[in-house]
Amino acid sequence: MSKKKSLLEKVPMIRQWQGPKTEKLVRTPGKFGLGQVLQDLEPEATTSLVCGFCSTGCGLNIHVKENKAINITPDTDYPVNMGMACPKGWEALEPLKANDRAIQPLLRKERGGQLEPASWDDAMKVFTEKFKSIQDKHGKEAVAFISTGQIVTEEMAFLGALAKFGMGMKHGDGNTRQCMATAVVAYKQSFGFDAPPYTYQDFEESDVIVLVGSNLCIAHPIMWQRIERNKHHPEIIVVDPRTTETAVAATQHYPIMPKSDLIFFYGIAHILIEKGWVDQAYIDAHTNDYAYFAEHVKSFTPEYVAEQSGMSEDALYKLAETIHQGKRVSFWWTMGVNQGHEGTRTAQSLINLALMTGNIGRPGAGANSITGQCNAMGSRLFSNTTGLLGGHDFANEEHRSKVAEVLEIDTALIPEGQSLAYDQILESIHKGKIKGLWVIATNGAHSWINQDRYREAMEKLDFLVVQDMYANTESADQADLILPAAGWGEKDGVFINSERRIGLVKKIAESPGKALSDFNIFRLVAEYWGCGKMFEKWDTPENVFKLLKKLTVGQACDISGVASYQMLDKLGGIQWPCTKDDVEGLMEDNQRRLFEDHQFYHADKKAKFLYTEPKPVAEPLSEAFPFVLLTGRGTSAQWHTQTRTGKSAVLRKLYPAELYLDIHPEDATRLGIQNGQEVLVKSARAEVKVKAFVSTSVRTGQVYLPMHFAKTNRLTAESFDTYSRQPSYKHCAVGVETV
Amino acid sequence: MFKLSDKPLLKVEELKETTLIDKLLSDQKKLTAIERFSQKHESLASPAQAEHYKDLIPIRKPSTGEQYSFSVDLDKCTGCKACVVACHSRNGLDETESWRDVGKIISPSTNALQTVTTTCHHCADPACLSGCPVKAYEKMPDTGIVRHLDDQCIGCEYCSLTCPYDVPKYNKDLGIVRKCDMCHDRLAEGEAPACVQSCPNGAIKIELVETKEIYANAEKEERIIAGAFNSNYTFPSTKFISRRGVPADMKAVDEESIEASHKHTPLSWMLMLTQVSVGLSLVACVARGIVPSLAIETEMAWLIGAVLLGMIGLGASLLHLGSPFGAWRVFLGLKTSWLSREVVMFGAWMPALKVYLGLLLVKQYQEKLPIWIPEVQDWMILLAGVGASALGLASVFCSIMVYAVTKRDFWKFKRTVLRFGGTMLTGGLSASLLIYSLVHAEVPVFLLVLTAVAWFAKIGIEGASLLPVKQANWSTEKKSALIQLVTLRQTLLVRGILFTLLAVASVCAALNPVFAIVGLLALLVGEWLAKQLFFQAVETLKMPGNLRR
Repeated sequence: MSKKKSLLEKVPMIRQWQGPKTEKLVRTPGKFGLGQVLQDLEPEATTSLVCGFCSTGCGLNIHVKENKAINITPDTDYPVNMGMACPKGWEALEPLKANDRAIQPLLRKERGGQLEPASWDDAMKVFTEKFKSIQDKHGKEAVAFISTGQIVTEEMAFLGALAKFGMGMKHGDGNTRQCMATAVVAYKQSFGFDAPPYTYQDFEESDVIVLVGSNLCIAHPIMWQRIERNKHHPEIIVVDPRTTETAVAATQHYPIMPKSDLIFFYGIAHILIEKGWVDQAYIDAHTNDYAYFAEHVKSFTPEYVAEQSGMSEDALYKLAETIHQGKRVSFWWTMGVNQGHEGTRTAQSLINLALMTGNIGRPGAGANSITGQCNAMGSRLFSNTTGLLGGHDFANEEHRSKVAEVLEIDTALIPEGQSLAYDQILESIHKGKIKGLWVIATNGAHSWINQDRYREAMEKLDFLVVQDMYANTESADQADLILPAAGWGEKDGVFINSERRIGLVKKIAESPGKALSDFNIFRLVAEYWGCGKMFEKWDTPENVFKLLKKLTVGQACDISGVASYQMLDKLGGIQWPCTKDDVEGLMEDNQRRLFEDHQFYHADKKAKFLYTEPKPVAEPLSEAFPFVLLTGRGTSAQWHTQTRTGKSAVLRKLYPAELYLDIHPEDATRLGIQNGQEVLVKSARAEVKVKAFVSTSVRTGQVYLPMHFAKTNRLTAESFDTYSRQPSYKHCAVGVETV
Repeated sequence: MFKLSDKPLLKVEELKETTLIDKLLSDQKKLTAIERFSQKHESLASPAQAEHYKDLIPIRKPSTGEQYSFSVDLDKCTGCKACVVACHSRNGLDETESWRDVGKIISPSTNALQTVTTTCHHCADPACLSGCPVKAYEKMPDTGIVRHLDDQCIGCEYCSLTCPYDVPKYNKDLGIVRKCDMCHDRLAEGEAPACVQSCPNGAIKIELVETKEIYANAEKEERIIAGAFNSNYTFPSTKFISRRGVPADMKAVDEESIEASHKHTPLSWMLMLTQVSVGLSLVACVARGIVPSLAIETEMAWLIGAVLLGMIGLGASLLHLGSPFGAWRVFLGLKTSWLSREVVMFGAWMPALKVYLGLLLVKQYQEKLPIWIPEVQDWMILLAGVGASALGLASVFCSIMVYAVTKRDFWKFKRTVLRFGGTMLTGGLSASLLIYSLVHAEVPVFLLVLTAVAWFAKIGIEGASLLPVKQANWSTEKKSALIQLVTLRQTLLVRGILFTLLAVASVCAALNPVFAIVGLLALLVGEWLAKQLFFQAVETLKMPGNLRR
């Protein structure tokens, strides 16, 4: 009977609406407000956490079945993204599942030799022995660390404290030097504290939105979503040499000459003053040094600025007038500004525009830096690299003793001097002063400017430790010891996003093999180094979070009101500052904007106008290298050096498999370059083969490469902003020829 | 006991260390987030996201004469591609599978650039549906959604050729194609499709559209967007709206890509073998009717060759199917599908060819047969030959139509007639010549000349497809020429070498049977390569895409 039946079932019907293949995609009503879900992926529970890619800080809802994370949908309730995510967020679980995860410590016994598996015990012993012997021989300062904006705040604070207070290192910096350093310095100098003043709601409140050096649509799609939600029909102004997706979506695009930005914005200030389009009352009441600034921009006449920027005088007046007519003007910038050779002053030229027109401390206004990495903002306050924990100053004795008291350590353990910046650490390696380096969750051998020289530096080290989720990154290739780390979603902690929102990351997935969270690795290191006692209280991320809260008391970034992780989870993140008094208001409106009282953080509570004479770029164009090379984000499916986004098959579908150089049709014709043809791009440092993409998205004389391919930074030139030491990725001289 | 206490201090030390590592490793594996944090919307069955998409779907179901359609606001599509990944994730598709894609169009004269999100257009007259040989598509009567029946599909992939938007995508693991179903079950419950839900900018909407409006739109606008195929073929329902305007000279960024198209290897074998086989049987039949001297003693060898090649060819076609067990349903599409007709026609041709051969065999060996059967007359054989030839020609005609109706320039009716007819003729002549020389150890000059003339024409025709490479302006012809000359230059080269080999072998065939056998192999492999070029050099009809993946 049953045999007969099964035989019958095997014979296909004439027309089959149902069957095993159809069933694979059958959807069923899911609970938890998810709507329909795939039958096979029906969750038993959900929990939400903040995404681990960019600084937007979207809430992602993790679907859990049999205690395993099986799927993601963006969190509807999270005040940042309202149920949306970019491709990276949707695919955030994939990099965790990759089969090339680092699952055990790996040790290279000799340079160029094979990596061999080691036990954690062996790895920790080698780590301690090697670093200690370097320190004994060459001094404590001969070992340094490179931290990251990709790990949770508790971890980066642990790393900074352990390295500097426990291991006696003086020098440590983060990959945040590559993205945020400029904004940090600009804000500190202008406002008295590193304080991006905005809340994302400002995107929706503005009637004029000025985006400078920011391809928001691609780099921060969910922030662009907030602009799309703006009901005021805003003028959207994009200042960017390239015709980016954002420039296309804007109402006005100013494709200025690369790195004419500082001159350009001084020119806009000149016109605003000339026309009397400034808010004198605001300037008088809340700022310093305006008169000097006004004097400074006098020489930036429309005629001169038009010539320098490649824009017409009419265009300059149009932009100034648009700003003047706006009631709520917001200025936003990203890497186009931060990664410039005079980025700090350029950022301040935008802050100046906001101050002089009174566009600050009001809904829809502000001079707003958009951050890069998921926890760059956490690193700015808590990485213990450039600044002392909690937004403090190493050079300030009071700060040192306050931190020592909270952490219950000897004040003498806190270094008084400044740490070297990333580029200076590399130079010290070249000079043989730094002999040991510990690199955590970053891939400098791909991302650092003038990459070949970075790799040379790594070869000069006596001992290089790389701590990462993967043992096959470009940086890991050169490591002597690899420590396998758990990734985002495999540990607890908090991120701080662009709008200063502290959001929660939860452990929702098991890390593979013997990989440990960075937090646990730091605990091990403390133990083996012999300073375990000092970090006795640093036993769980939440306990560290409590310490960090204490450190912020009395600071601009005071978060002492955040009671617990549960409170962060319930409210959908909390923006700093948040004292106990602030908590009640958050239940009503979970939005916080700075300077609504127009009190800045300088001693006299006033903001400051800062400016300098613009400088020429470090590497002028020449006969051999007649093109400006611009670099930047390729697609929304790619993240930085691709160690994670490269693991998702669907994300890989969304970007070109090869590196393409955007070149203008006129230049291409002149050089005999066909679309899709292989070309050679040469700089004074290296030459690389790429494919040409003939496109009007760049102007003549300019070419563009996305940063996600390791080749790109072989070409870029070491040049740094004077104040922030941030590398200038947005201008170097290259030549292009057919192969 | 005593041994243990030898080095007590070290033991304690070790124990302590391993304990911390073990503790951390075991801590690392504990997942407690679900217990520690409260569940949100635990019992909420209705979607929380609804408040954000309620304006993006119609408030009522389509009424008679209406259907659902996608409407894309291009001003809001900024190329973030969230829709692509959301479709993949929310619908549980396979690793690389997504039913949406985002392409880019640019205008060379201005700086204009536009990203375009696209999926199935749920056409008013879907070519996937009419091309499908097994009725694995249905246009849902109440919604107009073009739905693919995954368990009906046999994985022939013909729909991916008839669809001018490259929508149905083959899933190797399942052996079928799959495509967008507009999340019809979500829509049925008042939920938005995954792509609509996930667009951060609300660029994708579901609208109700009257069928007659779809037809009227196709009259008004040649194509739904720059780079898309003419709308008057399948009448796509998707609307692309732009207040910014789309400049007239916009084109897809991947338009000038010269990537080779799908190889369809088994199909290449099937087409080549059946065409040579039909050609061979034609020669046999014509010889019987007109030049009987040529046919004597060779006709049977020719027909055995024809049956063998034909059977291998038809067998090869099964290898092409991802899910061959449902292949018996191929007659379902007879009314609209040339593929259906091709299969049924070939199905009739092979038995007819066997009857032709059978009668010949019976006549030859009648005396040796153990049973008595009526004497086979010559007219009977001729009749069977003419019948088999007619069915063979009709089958090859169906093969031609299978490709000619797909609207590709490279496969235009005339071009495909010349290519397939050419293989049939030159293949039939060459094969008959070589088999003749195997049987008789000589080459009839008349047949050699005829074969040479046929080949001369065929090479001319194939060569002509390379000439557009010299055109100044971009065209699909130029693209096909470039694919052959650049991307597939090795295939083209080998094909040339094999042809030379065939020519030499044909001339020398009488000298030694080895030449004839080498010649036959060169013929078959060479013509197979010609079919590979036929498939790979065709322009893919698709929506605007991106730079090479």
